[in-house]
Amino acid sequence: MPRHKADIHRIFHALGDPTRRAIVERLSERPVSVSELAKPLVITLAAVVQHLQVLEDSGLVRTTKVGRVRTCRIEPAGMSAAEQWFADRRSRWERKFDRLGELLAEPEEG
Amino acid sequence: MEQKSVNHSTFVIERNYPTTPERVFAAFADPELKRYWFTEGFNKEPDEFQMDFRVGGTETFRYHYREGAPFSGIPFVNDGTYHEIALNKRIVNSSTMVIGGNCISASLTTFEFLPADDGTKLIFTFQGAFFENSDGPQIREMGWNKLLDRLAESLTQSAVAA
Amino acid sequence: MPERTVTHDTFTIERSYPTTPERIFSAFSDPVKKRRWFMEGPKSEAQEFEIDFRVGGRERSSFRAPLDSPIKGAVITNDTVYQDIVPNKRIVLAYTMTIADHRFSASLATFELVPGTGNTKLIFTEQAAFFEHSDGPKIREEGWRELLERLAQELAN
Repeated sequence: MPRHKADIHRIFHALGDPTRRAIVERLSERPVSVSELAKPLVITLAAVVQHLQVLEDSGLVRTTKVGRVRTCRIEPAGMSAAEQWFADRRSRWERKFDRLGELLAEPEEG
Repeated sequence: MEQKSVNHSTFVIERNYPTTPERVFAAFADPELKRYWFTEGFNKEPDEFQMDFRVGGTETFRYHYREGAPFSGIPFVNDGTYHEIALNKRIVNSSTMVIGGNCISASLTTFEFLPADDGTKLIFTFQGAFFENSDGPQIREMGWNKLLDRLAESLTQSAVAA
Repeated sequence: MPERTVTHDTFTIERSYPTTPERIFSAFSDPVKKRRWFMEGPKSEAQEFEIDFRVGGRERSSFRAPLDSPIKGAVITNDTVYQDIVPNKRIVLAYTMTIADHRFSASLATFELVPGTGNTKLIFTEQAAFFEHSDGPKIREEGWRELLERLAQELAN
């Protein structure tokens, strides 16, 4: 169960940090345990745990503990929220130009 | 810190036309010939088209899109200046596109007319600066492809009529 | 198949000036200031300079090249038409260069002003079409670097 519903401000705060971006990129490949995550990032386990906290708060990442291992994975709802934000920001103007582009690509009648 | 707001882009389109360079060049130089392929078609309603085909001369094309098309009713203006004309060889002009009073792009366009075995090779080079709220190079290139299609059609028609 | 007679190039120069966008813009829009940095240089002799700084306005400048240059004392003319002007932010113009009656290039030139902390970045982009017997992009770029250096000196005073 995600800790917080995806919150766009938290998402951008979370992605504003390069280490956290690297974590998200890694998790996009497949779920990874916390200790595995720490290895290539050349930072301490404690630092990874802190970063993961921010990522979980933002709704981009979810972690679950099974036995002694905590595994992290991308939370699809968080990713969708970010995508939606960008889509909404695309201006009416751009959409009009897209439509114009489609019109131009159509074969002309007459 | 503010970032740069201009997108610079260049694209090249090559076309072959089964007629002489003189005739293709004439389709650019003669306002009546140019009017047909440049101002008419794909939902554009021309409002004004004037050209003064000499170095330093200007060309103005005002139009709007028909009802139902995107931007319908909003005034579009293409304002250009001829910078270089070499008879039957090349034309270079600059042009801006202004939509509803806002300038969205400026460009330098080169048309080279090269004799080829089967007629003429036209090499069109578009070097543009796209500003805020502009269509961008992909849509602009699509638009130019349509125009050059229409040029092809007009050259075939006049060949038949001649 | 005949040879093509035009080559196209694009180059960009970025420079930082320790002043505001307004002061830099004014060096372009004010005819007195523009003439100082654009026309007066050690190498060539300024001839005419006229400027009408507005969208659609024209500017013409001409110089006599030094006798020891490859073009020995010939007169070079720049003809400019302003395309877009956004005060303190951007100037876009189209210009040609001509030696005697031979036009050897046509270009679109963009000047963008990006404010920073205590300075302003000027981003200059030239998109050029070079015809027969032209200087070419390398020499043209060098010419602009020298001009932008003269602009720096104008702004420093």
